[in-house]
Amino acid sequence: MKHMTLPDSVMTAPPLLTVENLSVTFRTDSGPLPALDGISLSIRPGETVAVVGESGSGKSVLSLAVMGLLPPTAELTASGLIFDGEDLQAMSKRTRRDLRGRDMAMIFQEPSTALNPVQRIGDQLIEAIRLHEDIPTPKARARAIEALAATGIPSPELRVRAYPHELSGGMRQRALIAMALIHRPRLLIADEPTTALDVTVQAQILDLIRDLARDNGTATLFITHDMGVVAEMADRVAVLYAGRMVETASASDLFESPEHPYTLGLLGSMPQLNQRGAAMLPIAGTVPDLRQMPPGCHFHPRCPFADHRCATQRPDLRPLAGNRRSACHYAPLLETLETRA
Amino acid sequence: MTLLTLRDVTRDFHLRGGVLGRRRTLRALDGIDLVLHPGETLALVGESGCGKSTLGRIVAGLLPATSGELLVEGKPALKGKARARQIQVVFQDPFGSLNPRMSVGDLIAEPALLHGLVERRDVGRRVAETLTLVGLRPALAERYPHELSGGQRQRVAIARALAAEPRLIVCDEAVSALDVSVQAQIANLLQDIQRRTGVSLLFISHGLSLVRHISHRVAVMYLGRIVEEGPTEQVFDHPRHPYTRALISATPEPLPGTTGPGAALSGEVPSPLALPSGCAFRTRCPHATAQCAASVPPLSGPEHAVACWHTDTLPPHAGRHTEPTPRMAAALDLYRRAAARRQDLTEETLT
Repeated sequence: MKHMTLPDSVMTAPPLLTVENLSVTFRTDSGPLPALDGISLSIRPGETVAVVGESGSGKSVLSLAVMGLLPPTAELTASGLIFDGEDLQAMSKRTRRDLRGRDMAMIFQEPSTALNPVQRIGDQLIEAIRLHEDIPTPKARARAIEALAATGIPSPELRVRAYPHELSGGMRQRALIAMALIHRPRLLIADEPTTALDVTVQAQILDLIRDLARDNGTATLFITHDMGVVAEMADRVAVLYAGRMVETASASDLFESPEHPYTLGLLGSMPQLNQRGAAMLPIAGTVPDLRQMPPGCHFHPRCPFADHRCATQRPDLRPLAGNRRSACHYAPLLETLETRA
Repeated sequence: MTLLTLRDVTRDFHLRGGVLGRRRTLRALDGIDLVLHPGETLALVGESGCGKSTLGRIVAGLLPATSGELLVEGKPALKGKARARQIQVVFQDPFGSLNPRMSVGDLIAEPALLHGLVERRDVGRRVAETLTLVGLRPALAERYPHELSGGQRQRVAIARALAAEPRLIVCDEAVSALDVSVQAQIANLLQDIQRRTGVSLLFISHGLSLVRHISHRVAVMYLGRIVEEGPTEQVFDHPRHPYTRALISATPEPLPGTTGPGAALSGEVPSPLALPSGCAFRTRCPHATAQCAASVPPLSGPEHAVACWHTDTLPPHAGRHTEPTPRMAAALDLYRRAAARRQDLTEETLT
């Protein structure tokens, strides 16, 4: 069962990661492609922050920016990108590389592309261990087996000899998690780690990630498009739409009363929140082309509440009562829109 | 009269593997009995390797059954073009199933002309009508698949299926690859089309949430067999098979604090090449006994059937219900009313 409130020690601890006003633009043949626009967020040790959005929201670009894995065509600007008090932007490539895999690690949606297909699982783990620690191979092998066992892989002493294709999807994802956690990173970035898995295996992997955060105080940035997974995993939530953050709140506040029409639309698209057999409440249209972003609020062409103001004025991510923010001119929605209607 | 009847349908795949090139048989489907009524949506759910897509392909005539009977309206199913006239398929990835060199209009005209359902001089009008039926504007007929969004392409794939005026459409993970907001659009569209045309749907999905929302009946599959089958509400509110219960408990619900008792199932689906004896689910089942290893439980029960030796002694399970909080419900209602007033907010005006 998800803890509903974090212990006070977590809530008052200084953030492990702080992202301030982060923008990322890709240079392409057909001109600049803005992928992220002014994103700010922070994560404390032991906290799980979910970043939610659909395709084109920029959620995966955010994770790559934090990891320092953006391609050379990406241009990053930020007024702050701080990890454990250190300025990531000022770091040398070498220091950044040392950080990666040791202090911050990432797991991806498709484990088969993140594993080397022609190297045994055990050898890949040993390589990952020895990248940051100078220990003899037999000792590293024992550590590898231990790491696989910790993710619930049965007979890990046999699995270290397996090639990735000899494992099931769920098993590969566990191996990848074992690799990501081998140095006990303080920040784990999980980018849709269960999207490709069957639902019973998804439940196992979610349990595993949750236990790690609780037992090791790992800070987790959890990237997903599934509001069900958000509800299950997150302490806090940031909703991204077309490169901008449109709402951020604690998970309990967000589900208690969503304060951005896009968040409402995402919830209305969940079958569970609609009456069985009745028409669902989808969001009209599709995500805009990042090259032809609508003026004003990016969401206004799809928003049922939108008016002239939304089409012309960009809404700021404003603080609302409680520790939450919304980038809608009309938040709080119920109070403002009931009277308008 | 039932539209579709499957009797004891079995499908084997012969594999050659290993260093000795030993022939091995993989039984993908084993003794499937199923009926589908006109105007009904029947969902096939289960995890990878359960055989749901193989079953869908057999129904659509894309793959022969190894043994068993398949009847359409009480008569042995036809083959080839005649089957395609009765039963159409929509796949997960419309990019792979739509010819990139054909315009949207030609893609939709092709089945209608092939089956002689329209005179050549009327084909433009028919294409426009079909596009309108799937919520696209007729001008889109000039475009090509690569110019469309994922949701639009799936609408075109549905339009193409509808153009043959089939009795049944097999939807094989037809919405799984789409963004959640677009999934809801396509689900609404399928329900709307069913109401207007009376077409039956065989809805194949690995996810339960949408199945619960749109299907009339549901069949849960595990390693080639149906383990539970019945009216959707009964199966979800009173699941009688441990596997169905595990699937329901494992599905994340969009409200914090509603998580079930952790991961309900340990382990993973065994290889279909090395099936456990007796009930194939017993290796993961918390209630398994010696009887489960000894013999396969038959699928039994009048309307709500289950294949489990211990179904009558399982602890009660109330299913799961997610109710939005009052404030969320009020906000969703506000959104619904605003959306209803904005008739201009359709996919058409936005693309």
